[in-house]
Amino acid sequence: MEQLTVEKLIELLKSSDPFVRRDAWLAAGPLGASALRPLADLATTGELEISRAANRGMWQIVRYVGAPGREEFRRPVVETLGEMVGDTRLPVQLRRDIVWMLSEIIKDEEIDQASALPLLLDADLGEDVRMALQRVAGPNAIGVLKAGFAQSQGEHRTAIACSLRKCGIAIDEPPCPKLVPRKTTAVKPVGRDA
Amino acid sequence: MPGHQNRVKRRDFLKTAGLGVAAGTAAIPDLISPRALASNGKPGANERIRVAHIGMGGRGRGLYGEMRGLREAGLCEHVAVCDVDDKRLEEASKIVGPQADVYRDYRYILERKDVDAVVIATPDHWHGVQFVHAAECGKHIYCEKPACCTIEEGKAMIEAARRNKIASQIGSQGRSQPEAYLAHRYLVNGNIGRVYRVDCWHYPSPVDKSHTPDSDPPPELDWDLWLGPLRWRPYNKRYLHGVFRWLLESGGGQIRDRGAHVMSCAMWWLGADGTGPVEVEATGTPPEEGLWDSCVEMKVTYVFKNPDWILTWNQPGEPVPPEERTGKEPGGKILRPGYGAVYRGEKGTMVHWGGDGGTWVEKKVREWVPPPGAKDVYKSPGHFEDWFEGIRIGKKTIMNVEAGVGVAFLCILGNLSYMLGRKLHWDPVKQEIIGDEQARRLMVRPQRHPYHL
Repeated sequence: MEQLTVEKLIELLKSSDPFVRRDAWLAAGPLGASALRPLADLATTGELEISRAANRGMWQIVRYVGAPGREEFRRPVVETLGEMVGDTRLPVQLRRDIVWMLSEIIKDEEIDQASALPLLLDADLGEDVRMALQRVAGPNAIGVLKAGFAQSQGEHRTAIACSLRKCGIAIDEPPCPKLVPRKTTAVKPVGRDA
Repeated sequence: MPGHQNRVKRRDFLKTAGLGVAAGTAAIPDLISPRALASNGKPGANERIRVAHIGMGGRGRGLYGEMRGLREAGLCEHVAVCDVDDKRLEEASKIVGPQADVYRDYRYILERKDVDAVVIATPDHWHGVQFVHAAECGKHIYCEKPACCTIEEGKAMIEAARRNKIASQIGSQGRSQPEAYLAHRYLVNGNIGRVYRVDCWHYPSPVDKSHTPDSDPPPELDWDLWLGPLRWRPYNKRYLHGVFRWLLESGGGQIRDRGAHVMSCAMWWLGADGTGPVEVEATGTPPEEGLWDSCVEMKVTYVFKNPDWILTWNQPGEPVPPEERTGKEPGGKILRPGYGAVYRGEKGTMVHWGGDGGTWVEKKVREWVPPPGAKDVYKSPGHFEDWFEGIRIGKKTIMNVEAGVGVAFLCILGNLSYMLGRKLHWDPVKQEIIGDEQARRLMVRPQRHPYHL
């Protein structure tokens, strides 16, 4: 393949040939931060399989820049993803993906508590942000979880409490409901007399 | 299947169980003290084990069928079935009978004090969580393979089993097959010398060419409960049933499905349970389109040290044509030649096909007659029977959770190396990835509330 540019990548991802699309997203990693926005746009607007390929290109970049020794590529990717996660023009499901991308490569010291807290409290993203912070589990991530615990209510507060316990923070209440059954079925044992 | 022909009579089973203790204590230390079991209110030697089934899809129903011998011998009864798909639940009720209660949420089963044991046959992304929850509720556990989807899950499973003193069996039943015993004995007696390399082969994974968009879930399915620990996403019918296998997040592809069988045999026969590789390097070809993202073709190399040997997983690799058989061999005819492994020793090679409920070895292995003084190895009475011995007498099972997790870790590390596109370094003692922060993060995959460890 000739020297891949962002423009060329996007062109190849729009190909009707699935093998061309696959080889394109597989090669996306070294393009780094500069390709993320165009890929997100294509993931948002493209036909089903083109959208999937674009999304995989974003993941490929994250996996590439997260390798040891690629710090100069990783940092701008984190910055760009950090901007994109707050972009409400992007579909919610893509923003959730971005949360998980960040969970793999963001350093704890790069988490800005003031910016992260609204995301933790966001109705659409909060659960994914909770899980991402739990994965990072450094002082800043735990700080956001603590602040979120103080400001949230109901089931989300309970979920954050579980994350904090996972991070080694003692939380007495609310208790973890993981073993409490909740869902019933209308199915009855077949052949059993009423 | 040959390995499940054992219609165990009650007296025969108990006699075998006694032998199992002797063999088990010679080879592996007991995990569970019988006194602990008794004190925990578990059944005595002549009481039926009350079993509940979590997940009654194709594999769950298959496992119910495989317990027939034990059921007919009066050694167990099936008191409940659970599935998140009402159609499957109703079908399961028809099969198991009206005495079994029906549930959508497995936690109703776990809170029942009259359930001794659970059989978990849910999609793989549920195994770790349900295993840990069941152990925390004091249930003995048969859990389908692969044991877990992440390193964190595997460690939690081992800890939960130890802390709660439950007997566990992971469903890599290849270890319990009659010809697996012959292969093990053949290798242990040095017939091919020191084994320095094992090359597994398996046919490639499928590609989803259906171009299926997301949609609303069908009314009979509880999509939230099916997803369980996985992060939320819209329903797509190409996630299930069965085809969850081809998603890296849930099934992990062929390597986590059949790798948990074929590599399980290698770890058992080479005495490598409790060890692990120091390097893992994978390359693979992703599907060209579709929802599924596990490798179509794949090659993984695992480097073990002290002792030094290499294990490789290859899709498709170099399949060995199946040998001709009459059907009267211990394992019968070779039904699944599409996967297997070649063992390379300093004095020769050994081939096996399959590695799961069908495990077949070549003729020279089957016909080898141990000379006087030859070493013998543990002979499983059957995978479920072996688990029941673990429940009843505290014997360490043949595919206990430590062994099952060890094999699952091989599969997980192979997929992680593929996903990241680089070699991973693994500390087999601490069970941690070394020197790669992103890979270390991926040892953990936080789970959706409240479906978490």
